[in-house]
Amino acid sequence: MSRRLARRLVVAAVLASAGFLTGCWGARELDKTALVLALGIDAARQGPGFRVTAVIARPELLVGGGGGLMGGGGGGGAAGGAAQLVWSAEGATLQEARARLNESLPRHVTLEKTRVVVVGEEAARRSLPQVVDFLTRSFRLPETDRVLVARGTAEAILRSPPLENRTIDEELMDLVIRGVRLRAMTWDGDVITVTRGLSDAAQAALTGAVEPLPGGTGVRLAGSALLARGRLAGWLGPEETRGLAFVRSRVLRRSFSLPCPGGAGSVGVDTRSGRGRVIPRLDGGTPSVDLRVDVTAILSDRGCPTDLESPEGVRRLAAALATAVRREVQAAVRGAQAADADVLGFAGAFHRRYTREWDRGLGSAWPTVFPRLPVRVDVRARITGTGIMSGPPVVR
Amino acid sequence: LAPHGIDAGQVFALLLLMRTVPVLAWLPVLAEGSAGRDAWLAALLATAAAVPFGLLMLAAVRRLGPRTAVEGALEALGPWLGRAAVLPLLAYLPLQAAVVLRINVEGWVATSYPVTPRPVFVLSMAFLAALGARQGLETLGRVAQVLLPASVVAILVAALMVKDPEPSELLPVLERGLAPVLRASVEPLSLFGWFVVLLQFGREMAPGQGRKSGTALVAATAAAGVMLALTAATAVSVFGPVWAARLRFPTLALLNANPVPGLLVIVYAVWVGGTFLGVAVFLYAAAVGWQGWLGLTSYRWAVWPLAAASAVAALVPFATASDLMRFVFYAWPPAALAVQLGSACLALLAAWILGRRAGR
Repeated sequence: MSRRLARRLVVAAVLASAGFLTGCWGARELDKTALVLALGIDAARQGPGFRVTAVIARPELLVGGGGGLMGGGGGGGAAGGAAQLVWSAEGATLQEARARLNESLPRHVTLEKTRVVVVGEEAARRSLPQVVDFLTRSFRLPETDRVLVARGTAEAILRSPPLENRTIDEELMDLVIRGVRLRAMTWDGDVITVTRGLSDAAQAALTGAVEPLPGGTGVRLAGSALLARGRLAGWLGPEETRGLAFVRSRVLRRSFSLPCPGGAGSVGVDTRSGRGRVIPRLDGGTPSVDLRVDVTAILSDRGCPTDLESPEGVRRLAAALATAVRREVQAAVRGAQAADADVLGFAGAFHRRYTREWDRGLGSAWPTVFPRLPVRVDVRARITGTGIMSGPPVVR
Repeated sequence: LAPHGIDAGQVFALLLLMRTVPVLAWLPVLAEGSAGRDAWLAALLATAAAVPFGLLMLAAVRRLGPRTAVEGALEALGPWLGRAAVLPLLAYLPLQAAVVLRINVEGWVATSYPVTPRPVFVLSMAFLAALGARQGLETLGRVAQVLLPASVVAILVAALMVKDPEPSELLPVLERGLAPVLRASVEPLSLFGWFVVLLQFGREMAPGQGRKSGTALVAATAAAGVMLALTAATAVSVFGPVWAARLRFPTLALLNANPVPGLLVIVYAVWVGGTFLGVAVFLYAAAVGWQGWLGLTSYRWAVWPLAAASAVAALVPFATASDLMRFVFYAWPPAALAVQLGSACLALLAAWILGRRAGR
């Protein structure tokens, strides 16, 4: 073969290869794509299988324009003039249900922009392993997606009109973020934390719970959902969730209203930090846990004339705070033990400290050990500031 | 840059980038599959074992001078025995190119291009890598130098900027003793043994780069080991040991959980570039070897057939990703290690024989 021919062949091959570089197989233009913002997963209405609900963005309304993106249809329709379209489909598997969404929509459904996954109560009870597998098996669904469990159906949540935002996924994100940051009344779980928890020593995870407002006028937080050993095991109310936040060192800033120590009225304190420590014990083969919570707070307002600035007053205030926190922590422990869902991190603590005993039977017996595990709660509170004023309120 | 041939900096870039891609794409899963939460220990153990292994390889390269291992063996052992002795190395190099090619193609298909037929990727990359190998080692070294900073940044960002890591997942250390950790270190060690390609670099090494190349080899091995340990530890702390061990591409899953926008684009650039380099370097080393074995006037004649053979070997034996992973996990590491170690010993033997003859 002459050098000239060889060169020509190489050039021809390079030019031919350009044909492969025009895009990947199955590529779709953006205007042929339905971007799913939130995904709902429910048990099928009849028989086994799943019902998938997708909240699809209507970009022309998100940016303030007009005109319809898609017509309504058998499976769904626009919710309350919001910049979204809600569509549902059923299938024997989640993938089949998702494929049926594609069949009924003129655009290809893509999950890459999904931000929230809502799992219905029945699906969480019956088919959680399959749901988690669907969420983690595909690289296309972001693992940072928030996971919420609906009291009732996920479809009812996603079809509720957003009150403060233009799409329901934003509404849910705002609710969770505010609920966690300001009042620690729900749990911010995502695909990673839920899957990690369910596959870990404790096989339990916690995530946020939501429910529709009466009359379907919106959505609200409903505490947290306890997931354990591949099923929905129960719920924690806001107080129990707050207690758990102390155990798991997730408390940043939140307000407590306390009865005024040694007098009538109430005082308000804001926590500044909270750190929980699980100390596992194995005395004579009997496991127990010492739960130590350290919390710091500042005095924010006072509605009583009692002296709260003197060292004695500060101590009494700290004791009142410790009592309130202890009550919440004990409620969290009771709630988790009642549901047999070790979301407190006890299993991991035993596994790390008593590895040999864990492998020799404690681990396999954990589901029966945890619900009856003696837990001693020790809360130590410190008041680190009383504001820029001293003494009782100046106005009497 | 040295006036003729590649310098130590390019050796460092080539050796590091060749290993960065497996770390990025698939390697941590193998360590985590056996060692669970101790995968990072397996990575460090493999690194520690790889350094003397690499220095043994480098000692052979220095003693052979401008010859390749194949040329040295033919000269020292004679045409028949020499040809027979180097056959395992000559078979290993294109097969390693095939394994690198197929694993990375599986990664592309699994993560981003599910409907693109695998032959498209395999044939395109084999073609490009063959072009690169024909350009010579200096060209590949320069490409490696360009890609290196992006690859290091991408891996560090992927490993360090993750959401909600749980460091307690790394405890207890040595939960099931040392045996699983030792088992898990075999695959990384066979990966570090990729510096067997150095045996074929002889004629391309710039004069006076010998000592610096030793430093480059140790530094590249240490850096690759640290990156592997870091990504393995991060994957375990984010996903937990059970889930991390089931992930086929843990580092890419970390990227999926990374809040930094656009990181995946950089990673893909590094990934594709690194795959190209890995395949091209193995093809180059194999072609140079077959040139000596067949007595060709130029190694370039051997590149196209070897690229075709690698593409076929990448496509035909493995029907599914599971077949590939079983092969890579169980069969390939011990075989690869045996060839790498055997080739280094053979090259040292050849150098010793040639040295004695020269002295006489």
